Amino acid sequence: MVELMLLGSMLVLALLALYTGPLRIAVIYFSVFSLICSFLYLYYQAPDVAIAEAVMGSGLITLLYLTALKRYRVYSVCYTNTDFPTVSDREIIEGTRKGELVREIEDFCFARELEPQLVFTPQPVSEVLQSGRHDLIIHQTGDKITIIGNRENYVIDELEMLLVLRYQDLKVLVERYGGSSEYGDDYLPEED
Amino acid sequence: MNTDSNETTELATLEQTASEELISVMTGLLYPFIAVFGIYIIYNGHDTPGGGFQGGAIMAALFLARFIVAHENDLEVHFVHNLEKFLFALLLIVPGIFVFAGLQIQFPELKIPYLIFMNFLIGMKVALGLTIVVYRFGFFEGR
Amino acid sequence: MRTVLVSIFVALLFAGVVFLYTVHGETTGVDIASYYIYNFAADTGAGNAVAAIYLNYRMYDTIFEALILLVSIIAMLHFFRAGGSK
Repeated sequence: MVELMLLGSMLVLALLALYTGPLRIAVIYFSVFSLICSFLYLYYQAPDVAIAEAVMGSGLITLLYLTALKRYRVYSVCYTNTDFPTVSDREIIEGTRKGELVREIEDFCFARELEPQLVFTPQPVSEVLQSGRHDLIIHQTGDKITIIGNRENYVIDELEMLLVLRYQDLKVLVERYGGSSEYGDDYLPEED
Repeated sequence: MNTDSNETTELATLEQTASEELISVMTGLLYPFIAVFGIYIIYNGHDTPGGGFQGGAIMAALFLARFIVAHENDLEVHFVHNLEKFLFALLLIVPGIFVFAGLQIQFPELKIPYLIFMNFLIGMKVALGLTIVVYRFGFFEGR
Repeated sequence: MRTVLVSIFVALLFAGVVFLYTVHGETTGVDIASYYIYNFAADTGAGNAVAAIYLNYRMYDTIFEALILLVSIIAMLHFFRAGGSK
């Protein structure tokens, strides 16, 4: 009975680790999988292997994966503006507080050793959302700025905290999209 | 870089430390227990389950926990590397004298000290080796 | 030329290892597993059969395992772009 329960939970955790979108959560599932694997070794009366599996599988390997995820390199940012068909670099760099926001995101990326890749596009935001290639989409209509982050990249959580702290005067809205939507609602663009 | 970006970096690190404080405190509390457990596993490896490799892996986790808690990058990689070579030389010489040259038949009272010493050698070697590997892959700045 | 020589040497080595493995004439009188189980405490003085095997009967295994760890660390320090020191 105990054996069947352990084996079944190992199967469930292996599938969860494979099919979870956000990688940080998948790594934690994998670490729990290793822990249950070590319990199973103990049940089969191999305490030597159980100790080694517990330390390596749920300790060192998890640590290695989490630090590797922190170094996820390229962070692609897409900037869409429905008011102007074309956006020049000058508008971003010399702009007022909104340009500062874009530069702030770049600085944020540099502080975390990410490589920001800025793309400007005249496409409507729904098309950009459907392509799903970007980690972060900055969408501006008139005065309203919406920042839509890909759920699979966990950097958006830290970025949201920063933007909420520093940009309360701008009407900045932080939304999520992509990944599996069980963690909250997707952002639906208004048609305009 | 101008002052604005410096402020941003400071703020970011501030938030990071705030969220990491929980992990730091808990790891600091667990630190002596992990140390005692690792040394116990190595020292009693010849009598109870465990041994050099398992205890060494626990000690490696201990050394890496230090880098998480203290945010220090002061591992002297070359020194540790040379120490590792020295340990490997000892690992060749000691069993070469004791097991292969047949000293264990003449001195049977040295068998248990030999086992404990070998477990300590293997434990130290595995601990240092795993520490270097995970440290270089995980924590090394820049690349 | 050098690579051809090296590959011929490796192939010969492989053939030799396989040949030696198949034609050796050694047999053990006692079943070796039960010998270890009944005699490890008297032979090595250990209380843990696993420790008795990897520190006495199968010492070469342990030595080469340690060598693999050392070689992997040397290779890692060698191939990393940053070199060895900070």
